[in-house]
Amino acid sequence: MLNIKALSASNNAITGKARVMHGKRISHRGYDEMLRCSSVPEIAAYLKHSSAYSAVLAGINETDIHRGQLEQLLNHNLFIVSEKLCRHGHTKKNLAEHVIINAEIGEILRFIVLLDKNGRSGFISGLPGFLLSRVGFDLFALADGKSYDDLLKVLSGTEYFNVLQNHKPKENRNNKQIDLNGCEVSLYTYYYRRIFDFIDENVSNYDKKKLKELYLLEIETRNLTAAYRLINLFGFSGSEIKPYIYPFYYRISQKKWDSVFDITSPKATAQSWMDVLPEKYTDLLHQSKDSGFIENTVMRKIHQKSRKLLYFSRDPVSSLHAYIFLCKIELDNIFNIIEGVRYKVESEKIRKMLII
Amino acid sequence: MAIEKMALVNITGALSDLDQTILHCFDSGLFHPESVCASSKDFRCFQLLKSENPYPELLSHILSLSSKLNTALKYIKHNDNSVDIDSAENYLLQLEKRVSSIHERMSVLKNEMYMRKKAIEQIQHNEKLNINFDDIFSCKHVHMRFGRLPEENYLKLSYYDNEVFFFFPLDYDQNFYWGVYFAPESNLIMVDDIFQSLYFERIHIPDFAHGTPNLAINSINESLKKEQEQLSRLQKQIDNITAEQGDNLSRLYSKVRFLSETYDLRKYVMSYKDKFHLTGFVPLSGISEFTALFKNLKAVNCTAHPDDSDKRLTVPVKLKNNRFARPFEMFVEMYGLPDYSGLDPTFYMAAAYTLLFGIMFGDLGQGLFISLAGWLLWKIKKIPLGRIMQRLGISSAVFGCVYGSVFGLEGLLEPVYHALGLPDGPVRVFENGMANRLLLASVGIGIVLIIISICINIFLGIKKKDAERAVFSSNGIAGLIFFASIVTAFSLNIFMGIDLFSPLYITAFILIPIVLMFLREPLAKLVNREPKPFLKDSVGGFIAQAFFELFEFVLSFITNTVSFLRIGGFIISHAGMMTVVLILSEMAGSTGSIPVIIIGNIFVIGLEGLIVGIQVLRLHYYEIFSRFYDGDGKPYVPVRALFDIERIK
Repeated sequence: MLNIKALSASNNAITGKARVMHGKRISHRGYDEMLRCSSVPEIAAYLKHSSAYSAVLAGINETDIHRGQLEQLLNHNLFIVSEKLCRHGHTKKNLAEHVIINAEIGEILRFIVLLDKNGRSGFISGLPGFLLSRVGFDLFALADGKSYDDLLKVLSGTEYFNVLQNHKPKENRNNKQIDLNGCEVSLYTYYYRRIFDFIDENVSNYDKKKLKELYLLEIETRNLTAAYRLINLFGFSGSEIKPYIYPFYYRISQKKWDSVFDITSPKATAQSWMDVLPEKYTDLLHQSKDSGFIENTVMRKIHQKSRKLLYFSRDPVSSLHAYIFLCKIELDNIFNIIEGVRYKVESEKIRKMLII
Repeated sequence: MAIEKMALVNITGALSDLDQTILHCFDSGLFHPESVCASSKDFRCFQLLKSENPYPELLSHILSLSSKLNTALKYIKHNDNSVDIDSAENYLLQLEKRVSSIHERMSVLKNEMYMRKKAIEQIQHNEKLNINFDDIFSCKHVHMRFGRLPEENYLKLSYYDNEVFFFFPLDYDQNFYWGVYFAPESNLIMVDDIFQSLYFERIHIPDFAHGTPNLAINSINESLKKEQEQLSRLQKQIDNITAEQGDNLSRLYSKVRFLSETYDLRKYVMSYKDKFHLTGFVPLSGISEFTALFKNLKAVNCTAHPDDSDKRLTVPVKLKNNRFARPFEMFVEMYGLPDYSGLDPTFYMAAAYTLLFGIMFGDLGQGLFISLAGWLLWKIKKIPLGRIMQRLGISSAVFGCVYGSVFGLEGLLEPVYHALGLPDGPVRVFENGMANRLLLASVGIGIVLIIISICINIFLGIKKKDAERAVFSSNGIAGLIFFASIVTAFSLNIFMGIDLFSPLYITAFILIPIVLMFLREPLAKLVNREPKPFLKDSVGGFIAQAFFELFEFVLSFITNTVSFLRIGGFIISHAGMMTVVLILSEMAGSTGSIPVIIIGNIFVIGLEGLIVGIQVLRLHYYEIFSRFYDGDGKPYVPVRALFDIERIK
């Protein structure tokens, strides 16, 4: 296997280029401009004419663009920038393969959801065209699929086959309902494992921990929000939430999670599960009763850490991953503004959701 | 090197004259308003005027209307009482109604024209389709849609190979495939849905597009021409309204803008029934000019009083300096203004700054260049630093003559020295032993500046009758004796071999000042005849605190003095950098030599000039100002109207 560490000096261009590209991010002033917009076309016009997205939005008719099309184009930009950065590295290995894997998983899950709801016809229309030439399986064949078996058939020969085979609906069950949650957790577990293996193999020791922290923080946010909502809003017990928790641990150790999983009564879980959490998280969860989301606060932390990693790291993979984190956060900000403007939410409320 | 004397001004009068009074205050550019507390004894019955400015909304309404009329509003000086603010909103609404109806028609026309232009664009993309549109549109069982498909979704069409439709791409422009799709009437809805999901942007070919694409384009161009004429007629109507109402709008704008901009002053106005009262400061030199402004207002009384008439008010500070020192006020203001009864350090700073910069960055050519650059910066861009650069550049040029350096070339001035009867330049930086002499001289300059600063502090202490500051502090007489005696003893010992450190000398000039500085707080209280001067804290606490403070004083004398070594350091570093430039120019050969010298000089001027400027500023702020200057004065900010339309736009 190609050792990227040995090539780190020649890959330094990635680090520099990522910083330069980050310099073209949307500024505070840019967000203010977007918040002043009163419609999606105005936002599209701003992005087309005054942001780094102008290349991907060139040629669009901003006065008549559909929100879905705009979001698809903006998502496309993430692939363009990651490919652009990888071109600066002197290795054939795709340093941003996780972007593709994430998109592949997204499409597989979208198919499974549509399959579960018998709404497969929407799959092809929602499929981002730019993925056709990038993913490792036949998306058209997937769109033609009518069952879970068809899905497995399309995915045979890929890693996803092994991951999803275990969740195949049992034949003897009357209700062949698909285990959506199980599929999601397994697929993303596979995704994070790939990332961590990749980091272990390709990132210098100095940055390894920091980059892993970013992903662990992201995973912990998923786990925490899932646990909070399942226990407090759906009345799940500790043992029932176990399948929803990703087996990666950061500030909340495995031992602590296990102690939550051991609680079998929903009432007892609701009363005591937060005792195992670090104080920071409990404070956040208490505050979230008003604001509704704790993701926002944790994402701010991720944003801060990514920026620091991008500014100070000399490792190409770390810089690339940190930059992609920042791009994704910026995209979330734009989507929040688009949604807020569409539904006439007060600009101050939208501003609070932005991670800048 | 002075602080402008001020006079306290009280203006009282009838509320009906308030607008005119405010106008005079603004016009004079002299009046610094002060808040007089409504609860104070003299003004108990007075109330502050309402503080929320009601005019910005009206102002933005006028500006938005002027933008629709495409007219630049002029400011007509506020002396027109015919403008009625109460009916302004009504007037604006009526005017807007007239303008908006025309604008709506223009907007419809523009949209139609936009659609036609788009249609032309579309037809141009379909020029390859050499078929008569009439033939296509006359099909009964097959329908067609013209438009464009995003490139990435074009790839998805292959998924629909089995569906009953055809898409013909006619053109490609990197992002979109332009073309037309055909579908049978029975499948049209389904096919339309597919294309809609692929974000196909349909462009309607207008009914009047007949014949081949070329013929259709000509026909649409004809229609565009007619619509353009209609648009011009509507624009003319707008121009007529502008000509008719432009002046009225400008008058209204001027009044509202005046009221809006001067509203800030209203928050200082106290009112009681139909009377108002306004207090502020005006420079003594302009007081007669200021009071004369109110002579024509019979119901307004403007009286001037001495600056200390109202003890509750802090007198604002306006620096007053000669032409040489005035630009350096910027640096003093950056640190903080002196208090009204204090001392303006601007001239002292200007002189020391110019001198130190010249010494540290001495070069005749570079100095003149800096001076010229400063002059241009001030003339063209009005950057205040430009005026400082002019002075620094001249100082640098003078010291350049002392060092014999012109753009780093040290031989150019030799004929001049020989003509003056000198064998060589007065100071040769790389001469044997010169570096040590320069460093010692730097320390000497530092000692002189520190002693001057201490003397200023003693003067200010005496002026303010502050015994601790004048006598017992480290920057008072005790500190001066301590510092001067040590410096004298060391200097005599090093340069002349005279040893002054006798027990008597040490006791009188070193130990006693130390004891005085140690006990400065109780001694000052004793002098001021305050009760219990020694019993504020515990004895142990007092000794510990005083000991560490004394330690810090002694340390600061050493560090501050040593800090001036940088003066000599920069003389050597400047000469060193220019030597490097010259070596590089020699290495570059005959063709590259001059460019290297030019680039090297620009680099040295830019980098070292900036560093020296910052270092000298640092020396002033930390080593000099810290000894006598507090910088806690209140700035003099007279109210001024900014009647400039560009500012609001």
